[in-house]
Amino acid sequence: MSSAWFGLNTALRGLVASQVMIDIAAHNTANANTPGYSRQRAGLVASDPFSYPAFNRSGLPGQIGTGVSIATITRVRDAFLDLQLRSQVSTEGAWTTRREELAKVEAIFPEPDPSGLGNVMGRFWDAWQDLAADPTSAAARSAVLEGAATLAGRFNHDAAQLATLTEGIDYQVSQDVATINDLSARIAALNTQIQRVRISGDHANDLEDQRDALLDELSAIVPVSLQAETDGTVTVLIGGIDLVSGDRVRQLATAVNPAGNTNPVWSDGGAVALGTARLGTLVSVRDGQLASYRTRLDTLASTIANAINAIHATGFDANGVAGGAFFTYTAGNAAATLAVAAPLAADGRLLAAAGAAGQPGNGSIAGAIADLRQARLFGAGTQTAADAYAGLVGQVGSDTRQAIEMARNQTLVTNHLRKRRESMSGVSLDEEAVDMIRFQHAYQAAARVMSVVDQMLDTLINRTGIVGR
Amino acid sequence: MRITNRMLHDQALGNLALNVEALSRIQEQMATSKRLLRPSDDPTDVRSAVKLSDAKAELEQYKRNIVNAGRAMATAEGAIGSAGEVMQRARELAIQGANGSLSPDDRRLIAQEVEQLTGQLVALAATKAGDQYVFSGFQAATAPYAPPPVGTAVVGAYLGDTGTVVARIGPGVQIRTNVTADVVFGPAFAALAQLHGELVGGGSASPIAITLLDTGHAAIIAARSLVGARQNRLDATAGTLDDGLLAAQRLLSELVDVDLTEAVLDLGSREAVYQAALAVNGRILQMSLIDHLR
Repeated sequence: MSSAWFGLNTALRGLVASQVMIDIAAHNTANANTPGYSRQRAGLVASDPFSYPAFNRSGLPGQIGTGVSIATITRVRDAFLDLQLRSQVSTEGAWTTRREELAKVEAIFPEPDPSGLGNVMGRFWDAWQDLAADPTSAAARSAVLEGAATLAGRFNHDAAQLATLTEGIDYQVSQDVATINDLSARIAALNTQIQRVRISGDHANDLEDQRDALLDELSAIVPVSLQAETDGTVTVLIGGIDLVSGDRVRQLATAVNPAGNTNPVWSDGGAVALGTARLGTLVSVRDGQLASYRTRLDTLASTIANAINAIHATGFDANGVAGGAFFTYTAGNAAATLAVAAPLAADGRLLAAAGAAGQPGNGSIAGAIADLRQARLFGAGTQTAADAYAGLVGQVGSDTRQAIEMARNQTLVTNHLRKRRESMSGVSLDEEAVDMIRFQHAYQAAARVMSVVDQMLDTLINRTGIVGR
Repeated sequence: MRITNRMLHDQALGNLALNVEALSRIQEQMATSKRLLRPSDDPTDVRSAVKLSDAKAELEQYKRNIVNAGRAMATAEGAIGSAGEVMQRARELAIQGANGSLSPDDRRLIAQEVEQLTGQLVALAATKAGDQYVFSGFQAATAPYAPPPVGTAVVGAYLGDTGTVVARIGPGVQIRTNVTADVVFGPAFAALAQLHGELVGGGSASPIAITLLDTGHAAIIAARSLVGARQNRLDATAGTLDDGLLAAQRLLSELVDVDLTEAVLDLGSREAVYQAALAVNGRILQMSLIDHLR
């Protein structure tokens, strides 16, 4: 026989369980919009049953239940989905960064708008033609100088813009390194807290959610691999080197490379395997695309300058003196430093338009320079200056286009995975509402059981054995 | 699939953002009437557009060169035409001067007119287009002949040179635009000097002088037809260039400009999609079980 009070206890367990379930629903509902939150579920189990003590148990029922207890409170989460998502988040970080950086480059070459270098170059050649037609005209001379100054200015501007973008990337690299250090410190701190909770045998659901959110954030910057340790901590590795291990963090730092640009390094100076994510892309866009655009721009500027200078030097100016250099520039940095030679810029008469001294009407040199527009100076004698520039613009365009399309596709992929994760781990308000009703009813029913037992006891205690009173 | 409230919200936001992006693109295209606004819009087409607009600018420049060259040639042609008239008058005077019944004084009067004609011819040789003497070769700042001293018709040496002034009228195509005064006017001056020399002394004009005059006139006529032929070539080239320009303009427009009809239609359909998305989201996002629980 069980105690007369036995039923009260069973009902109490029901009350408590329902209350906890309502609390969990409240927690889920409250966090329905919290980023990184995973819905939590309680594992309800029937509590250990009670065997009737008896001398001979054969004819008797076996065990009697003692009610319900809450075994675990866990988060609904698929670790494999997290793994998949993080690798895609890294790729997404790579392409969106590439898209953003290249979109900035593209703005430097606003083709086919007339304000671009292409049109400026065209007007420069036109000015030479006008001078060839009328070499005695002071107006034609100053038009050539003006066109040349505008062209040089446009080259300077474009090169300066590219340099500014490079500096901008250097700044972002150091920012990202700071962010990685911050994130890894926070992950290490969470590792410690989670470990403590685990020791007491519980699940640190909310702390693990926070840590997962930080790992997602980290993955967008640099691809990481993770090792789940038995004590509940995670070891975070970049290229096989541990960034976070338990509560320990290996810091990243920045170093300036020979080209004067900022690169991320381990605090001991070792190179970081940046892989395909935001940080790696910043470095590869800077050292790859930007550097190559810059070189092509330099080649364009120096080749045009050299070709013009060579012809100009064979000519004679309005004073009958042999022509000097037309353009000047610093080797290795041609686009940024291209300028009209100082004496010329001050005096248009020094323009050597004539093929022989003392022939003011001779515009043959100006004509020969104008003909450079058609000259195949680029691409091993296959391209004119306009072709070479169009090629550069086309390259910028197709690089940007590829980044835009890849970023769009990659965002679709990560969105799909995020959706799957949300489908699994996200809070559904309808579901929680149903749970609330379910456990409200369970609570009411348990309370009713308690009343029944109470009435039974009332009958037994207060109304039994009072015959004849 | 289990659908949560956040999924509905995210999806609504994502789809609305896509629609707005498409609308903004149409807005941009219609506002600028350009299909290509940056290299990534269509790298291949932008590349072609950059080259094509350079080619078009070049054709425009050739066109301008032709107009400039045409103007210089027309000036030269006008001067040569007037020179022809001067030579005709000189020949009339020579025939008159060959008449044996004239008195020496009459002949001296004729000689004076020959002297004037020579002066006219020197002035015609010094014709300028803008600041340039058109008949001086490369010596564009120097008049080809100094006027003869008063009382003579002997013009000094040609002061210009044989410089060939060219105009660029097409890719790699040049045309000579000038004739030099020594060729055009040189024989005429020789003839006039001979005629003047014969008449000023009171003698009659000789057949030699008349033959020389004819030679001088022939040189002028030859120069005139040469200039005329060049002008014809310029006109023909200008026509070809116009065709090329038109074609380049059309190609460029096809590459760069937006097809307005298409853009308007696109706008209509995008707008409808956006409205529908707004309506659907407005209804779905409001629904919740909570509203139905008491």
